[in-house]
Amino acid sequence: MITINSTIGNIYHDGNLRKRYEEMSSQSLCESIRINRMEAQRVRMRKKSSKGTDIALTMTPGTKLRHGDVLMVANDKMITIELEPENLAVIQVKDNIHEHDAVQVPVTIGHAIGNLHRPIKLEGRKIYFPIQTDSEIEMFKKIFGPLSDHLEISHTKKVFEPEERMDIHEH
Amino acid sequence: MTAKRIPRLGIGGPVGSGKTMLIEKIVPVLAAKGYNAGIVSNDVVSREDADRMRHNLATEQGILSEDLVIGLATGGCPHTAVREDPSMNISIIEEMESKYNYLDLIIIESGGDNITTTFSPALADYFIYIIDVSGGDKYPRKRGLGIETCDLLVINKIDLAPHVGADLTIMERDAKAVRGDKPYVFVNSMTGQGIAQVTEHIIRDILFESPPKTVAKN
Repeated sequence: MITINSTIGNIYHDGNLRKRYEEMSSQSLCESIRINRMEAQRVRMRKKSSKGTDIALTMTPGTKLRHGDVLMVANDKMITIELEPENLAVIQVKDNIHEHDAVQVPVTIGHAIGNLHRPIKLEGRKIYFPIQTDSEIEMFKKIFGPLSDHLEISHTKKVFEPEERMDIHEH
Repeated sequence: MTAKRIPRLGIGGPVGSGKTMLIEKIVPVLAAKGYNAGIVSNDVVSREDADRMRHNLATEQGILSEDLVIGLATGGCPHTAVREDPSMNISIIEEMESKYNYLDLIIIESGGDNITTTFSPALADYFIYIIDVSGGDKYPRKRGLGIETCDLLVINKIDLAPHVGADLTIMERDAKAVRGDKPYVFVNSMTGQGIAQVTEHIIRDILFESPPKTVAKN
């Protein structure tokens, strides 16, 4: 069992680690621990990597693990965190919002998502938030029906790392 | 100085599913292996479960001291005190970590149905969700946060299955389908069946098979 107490960096935010990851990956020297978003906030857990390495994580309280975090790097092994992709709703706000809609559209969207206690991720004009089933999309199309001229609503499956400046609970 | 963090186990489940008895069964097994546990029991208004565990495990069996079983009357749905806002529980646990640094494990018990119950990752390192067969063999396939997200699913009171028309093979099939690789254990707390397996998961996955602490009790 390998015990890990801290992360070294992140392959998506550190160019040097990214380069090393790509080099080692091409030699099949990389392995990952797959966790869900809830587990990413845990500071103590025991997991098996994609290659079967037994790993105990004992992180400092308050640590949040991120997709691409590097837990260990040696000459013959790099271990990273892989977040499980999630089912997400995607609300894309079209660029046809006029001044008189400038408050109504975003506030209505924010109010509805907030009422459902969903965390969000903002990317440009897209708002992502987790859903349990694809059928929820139909519900959101109804909720946002009056705004349908301004929105495109769809679903996707991808890694979801919510905005952190809003400490929201979800259920 | 901040006290050293003690591993934390959350045990949740519907009212009457057997959370308290599960704790009453696993604590002596852990104690026999040298592991010391403290308990925080969440309930709405009563402290009946805490009083019962204190009487059984401390007064009767002498496995732990009476002040290591703490009843927390949450005044609302207890699952909210372990999920949305676990600050009351965290405050109590940090006090226990400071006063009883010899503990190997702190167990947090909370009622809650399968739709809503989960433990905040800030509170618990590992989450056992317990159901019993009298809810019907449909229970695992109906999913919900508890059944889907827990680290270990315990299906209790299996001796009652033939009396309530519950098919354990259906429950096993659905538990596998819903939970993938994540474990489940069939348990009969009354006889102790399955308790050893539950304890093995705790020792391996929360305590990391570390030996019991050797810190002297004050």
